[in-house]
Amino acid sequence: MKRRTFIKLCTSVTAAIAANPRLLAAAPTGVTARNRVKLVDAKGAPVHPDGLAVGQNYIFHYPFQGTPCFLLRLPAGKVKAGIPLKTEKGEVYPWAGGVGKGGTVVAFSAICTHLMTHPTDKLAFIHYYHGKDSELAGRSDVITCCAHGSVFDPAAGAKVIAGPAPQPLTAIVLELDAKDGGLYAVGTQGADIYHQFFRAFKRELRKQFGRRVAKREVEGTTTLVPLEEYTKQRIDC
Amino acid sequence: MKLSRREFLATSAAGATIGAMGRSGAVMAQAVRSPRRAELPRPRGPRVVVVGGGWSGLSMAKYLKQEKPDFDVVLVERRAMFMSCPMSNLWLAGLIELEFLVHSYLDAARNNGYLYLNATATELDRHRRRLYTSEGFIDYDYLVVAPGIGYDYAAMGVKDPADRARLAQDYPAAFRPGSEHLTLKRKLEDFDGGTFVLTVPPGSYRCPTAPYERACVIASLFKRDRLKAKVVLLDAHADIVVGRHGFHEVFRRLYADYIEYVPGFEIETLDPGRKRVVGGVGDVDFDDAAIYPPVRGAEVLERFGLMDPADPQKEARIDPLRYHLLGDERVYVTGDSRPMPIAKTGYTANSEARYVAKVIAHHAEGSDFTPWYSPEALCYATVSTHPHQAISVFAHYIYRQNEREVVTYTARPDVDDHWDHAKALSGLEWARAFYREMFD
Repeated sequence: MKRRTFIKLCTSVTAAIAANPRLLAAAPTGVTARNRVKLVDAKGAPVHPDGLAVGQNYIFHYPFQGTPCFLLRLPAGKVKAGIPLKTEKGEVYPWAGGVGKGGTVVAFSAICTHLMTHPTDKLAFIHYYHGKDSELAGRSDVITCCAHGSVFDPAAGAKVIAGPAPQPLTAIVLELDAKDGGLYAVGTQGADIYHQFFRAFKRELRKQFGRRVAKREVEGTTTLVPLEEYTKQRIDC
Repeated sequence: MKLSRREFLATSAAGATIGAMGRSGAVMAQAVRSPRRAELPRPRGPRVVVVGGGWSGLSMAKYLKQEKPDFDVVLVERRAMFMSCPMSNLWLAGLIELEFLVHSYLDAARNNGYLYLNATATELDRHRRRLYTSEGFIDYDYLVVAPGIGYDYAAMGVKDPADRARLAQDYPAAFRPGSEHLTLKRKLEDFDGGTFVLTVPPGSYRCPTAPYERACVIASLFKRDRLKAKVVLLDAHADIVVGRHGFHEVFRRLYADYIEYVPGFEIETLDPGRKRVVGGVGDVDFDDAAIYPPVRGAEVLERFGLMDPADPQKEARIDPLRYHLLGDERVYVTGDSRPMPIAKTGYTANSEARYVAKVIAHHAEGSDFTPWYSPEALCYATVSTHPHQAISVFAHYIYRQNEREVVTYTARPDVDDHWDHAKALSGLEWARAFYREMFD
């Protein structure tokens, strides 16, 4: 590890813990501290929890330029922050939960932990259902992957509630900036599937993002886009 | 060639077995008992040999390595290139290129940390834990046999071996990928009209939706080309096996003039010369056909002594929860040769492999792996080619133990009647993701 990276890591862990004391307990086992990255809208302005629509799928890239994530504002009163989750390797971690009023603003990697299906610029087979049922899940307020039928509960740390996925979606640890009140991504929790992802999707990622771009860490800011703008076709199931 | 006494006895026994099967026993026994060791690097951990590079074997090889990285995994496969049976109906219809279906075993092995031996497994000596192949023998700590299905033409009442050979060659089922599929595609391209017969075999067969999907795909082509042609689908079952409502609706609404569905059709025999299917309820003459005979466990099970002789489908004699050969916890049978009534599909094979790899890894570490969990199958079946539309079918299994401790599995299929393009796209993603999983 480079000295600069190490210092950055320490700083972001400290910042994350300062912003969200729950992390203190989770930090040793659960959280991988990564670059502190500001979420911005298409105009470059910070993203505030109140400006997000409940139920809308938003996409941003984190911690790498080619790894898409969901940002969701969930209905109030359902979020189970701190719920213990388990990776496929058996590592238990308490979900850091969300931010904003009631902790309803949550983020997860949008890469399915079964076989890594994820939203691309062309198609989105995996996304969050609100206000309508996912047919495969038989309910709403879930993230369903249409490729093989894995269903995740975003209010419970994207825990698997049906289908073949062996572990929850990787959680993205968020915090609110003390100064501008905007959203920041500071780390990840749970499954680390990025290495596998870059290997399996090398050709596709090159096509979508350019040579060697997808693997670069996001630094500074990352742009938040509604799913419907990010992808040409959203597939429901 | 110098043989030890035990080797000589084993050779004779093998010769007898093969002879009893009607093969040229003596010649084969000579060939299979090559005393040469296969050219492989020295194992660095417990060696697990996987026989068969289909969906089950490829998934097993990958997950064994993932579960226990010090396993030294060797995949023995006689084909030099992989071709997928799932999605092959779409290729028959011209919806995907052949490149979508074919993949490299070398990629699978080098990307997933195991070795691929392009060889035919010929004989098994469980006492010595030694597998003989056309490229030499391999000593194993664990053996996984995932040989897929065989065709049982005799069980379809075709008594004359010459007729069986002719059926296999002239009217291939196209459920074991390779030349069978290439030939069927050529037949469909050359077909100018008349009756094209497809059959659904009795019992458990590979890919429950596929014969119905194939009927739709072929009818869709006939309809597009305005051929005076009909698909006659002779089903040994009383009704459509899975996706019942959806397929009935599709047959009625899209292909009323192109598909004649005949349920409960028991084939008494087949006359390839006269192009005639002889059934209990009457005969059906055809202009061309793809005859799907009853399915059995692959022949290699019988040769290796892994077959359950009491099983009408000649499948493996294994523990239904742990998958090991009864009486030998070093030998496992997975995939379409398993005797449990789990759908014979690529998805179940992959899903099951995740579990069985854990069972074997735990056994190697001296612990018992108890929590059985169900393999799953979510399948997308194409019902129309222009536009490309599909239905979906979902199944999982439950484990029940009755008072006599007999284990049974029950499939609970969930059917989606509605067909659309989104499901067709999901079906393509379904497959792409699995190919990536097995090969990248």
